Amino acid sequence: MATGGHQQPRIRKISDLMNVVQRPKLAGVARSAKAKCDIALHDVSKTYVADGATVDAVERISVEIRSGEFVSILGPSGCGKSTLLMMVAGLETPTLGVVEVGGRKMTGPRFEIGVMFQDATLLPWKTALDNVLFPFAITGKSAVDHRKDAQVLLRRVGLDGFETKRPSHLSGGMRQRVALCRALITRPEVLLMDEPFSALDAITRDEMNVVLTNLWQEFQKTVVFVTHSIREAAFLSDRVLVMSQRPGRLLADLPIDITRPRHPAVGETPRFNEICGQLRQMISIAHGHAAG
Amino acid sequence: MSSATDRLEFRSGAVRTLWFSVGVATLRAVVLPVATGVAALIAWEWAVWALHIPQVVLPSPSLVVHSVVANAGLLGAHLVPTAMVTVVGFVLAMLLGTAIGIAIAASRLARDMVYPCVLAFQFVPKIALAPLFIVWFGMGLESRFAFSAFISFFPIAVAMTSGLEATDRRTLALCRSLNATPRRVLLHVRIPFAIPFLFAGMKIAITMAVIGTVVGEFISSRSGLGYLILNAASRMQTDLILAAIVVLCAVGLVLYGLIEAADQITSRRFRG
Repeated sequence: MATGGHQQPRIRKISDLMNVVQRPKLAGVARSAKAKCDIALHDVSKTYVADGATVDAVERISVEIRSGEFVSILGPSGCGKSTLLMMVAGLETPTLGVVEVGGRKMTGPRFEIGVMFQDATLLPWKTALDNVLFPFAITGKSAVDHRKDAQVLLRRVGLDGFETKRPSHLSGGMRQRVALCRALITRPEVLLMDEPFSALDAITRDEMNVVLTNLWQEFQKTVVFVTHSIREAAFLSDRVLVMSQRPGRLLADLPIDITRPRHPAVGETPRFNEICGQLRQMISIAHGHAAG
Repeated sequence: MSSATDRLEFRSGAVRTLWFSVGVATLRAVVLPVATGVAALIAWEWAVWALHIPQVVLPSPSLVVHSVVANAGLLGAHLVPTAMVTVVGFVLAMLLGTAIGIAIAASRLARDMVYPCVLAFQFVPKIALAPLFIVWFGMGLESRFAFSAFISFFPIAVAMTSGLEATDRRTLALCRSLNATPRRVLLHVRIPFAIPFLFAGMKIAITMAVIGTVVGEFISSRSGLGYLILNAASRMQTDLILAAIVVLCAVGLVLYGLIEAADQITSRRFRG
C-alpha cells in the first residue's frame, strides 16, 4: 500500500469537476489496479472512561480505504461507528493504534477533511450561501473567490433561488443539502459523513441519497459514510464495512458490485436486494441471533 | 377541478379561523390583565372612600393621579438624574457582566476560578452594601453609578455565561474540524448564539438597576426620585410618594420596552 505521493492532482476547481465526462465505473475490486491508500487504520482501539467505568467503544480495527472510494460503515446504534469516524476526522484520539489520512498520521483535525454531522448545524442567522461559505469565515480565509463555487454547488443540489434564505425558511432536507455544499466548498480530499440523513424522513432521505450519489459521481472524493440503514449503505457505497455491537469490531467488508451511475431504480433489482439480504444476515449474526 | 376549489375554500376558511383565534388570543392577552388592574384600582378607590381611610395613610388612586399632574414639574426635575444614573449603571453592568461571561466561557481556568464565586456572591444581600459605596466612592454621582451597576451586573454575567455555554455542541465540533481558533469561534459563533440569552439577562438587570439607583438616592443624594420619596415621607406627603413611584414605574417600563424592542430587532437577525 503506497502511503506516499499522489498520482493524480487531487485539488481541482469544482467548476472543472462539474464538466468531467462521466465514465461508468466498477466498484471495489475492479478499481484496485489504480488504487492507492488514502485512509488507513492500524489496530485502532478507543476506550472511554465514563462515571468511573471504562467503556470499550472500538476494538482493534484495521482497515484501508482507497482514494476515491465510497465506503459505508454499517452497524447498530451505539456500536462505536461514529467514534471511529471521529477518530478519522481527528476530533477524537485513538487509545491504541494509528489513523493515517493521505499517508500522514492524524494528530488533530485538518481543514482538508470535510465532516458532516447528523444535524445540519447551520448558523441560524446566516443565509444559505453564507452558511456554505462558513468554513472560510470561521478560519479567517477570504471567501470572495469561493462565492461562485458556492452558488454552483447550491444549484447542483437543487437549491437554486434559495441562496439568500435563512435556515428557518428551509426544510430539513434543504438544510442538509446546504450542509453538504458546506462540506464540499473546501474541496476536501476526504469527506466524512456521520449519519447525515438519519434525522430526515424516508422520502427525503431517498432523495438525498440520489443527490449524494450523483454529486459523488462527479467529484469522486474519498467518502466514509456512517449509517445504520442497510439500503442506504448498499445504494451509496463501493464497499460496506459491517461493525459489531460494542465493543465495535469489524465483522465484514463487503464490496458492492453494482455498476454506476446508480439510479433509484437499482433498489428494485434482485442483485440489490440480494446484497441487502447478505448485509442483514451479517448484522443478525453480529446480534447473536439466527438470520431471517 | 372541483376538488381543487374545495381545497382552496377549505384553506381560506382555515385562514379566517386562524385570524379569528389570533385576534381572540391577543384580546385575551391584553384585555384580561388590564381589566384586572383597573378592577384593583377601583377596589382601592372604593375602600379608601367606604372605610374612611385618611388620605395621609392611604391616598386614593385619583389623588395620586392628581398629585402626578400637580407636581409634574417637580417630578420631571427629579426624573432626569434618576433616569441618567439608571442608564449609566446599567451600561456599566453590561460591560462588567459580559466581560465576566466571556472570561468564564473563554477559559477553563477562569471558569473554575470565577464562576463558583460569582454564584456564591449572589447570596450577599447587595443592598446592605450600599453604605460601603458611599465610603468608597463618596457622596457624588460615582457612588450611585457604581451601586446601580453592582446591583444589576449579576443577571447579565450569568445570562452571558449560560448563553456562551449553550452553543450547539455539534456546531462547535464543526468549527474544530475546520481548525478554527477559539477566538474566532467565540466571535463568530458563540457570542451570536449567546445574544438571545443576553437579552433575557438584560431585562432582569434593568429592573434591578432602577432599584440600585433608588437605594443609592435614598442614602446619598440631594436629587432624584429616591430622594424625593424620602423627602416627601418626612413631610407626610404620601400622595407625592406614590406619584414618584408611578413615575419610577414609568422609567422602568420605558427602559424595559427599549430593551424588548432591541431584542425583537436582533432576534430577527440572530434567530433566523
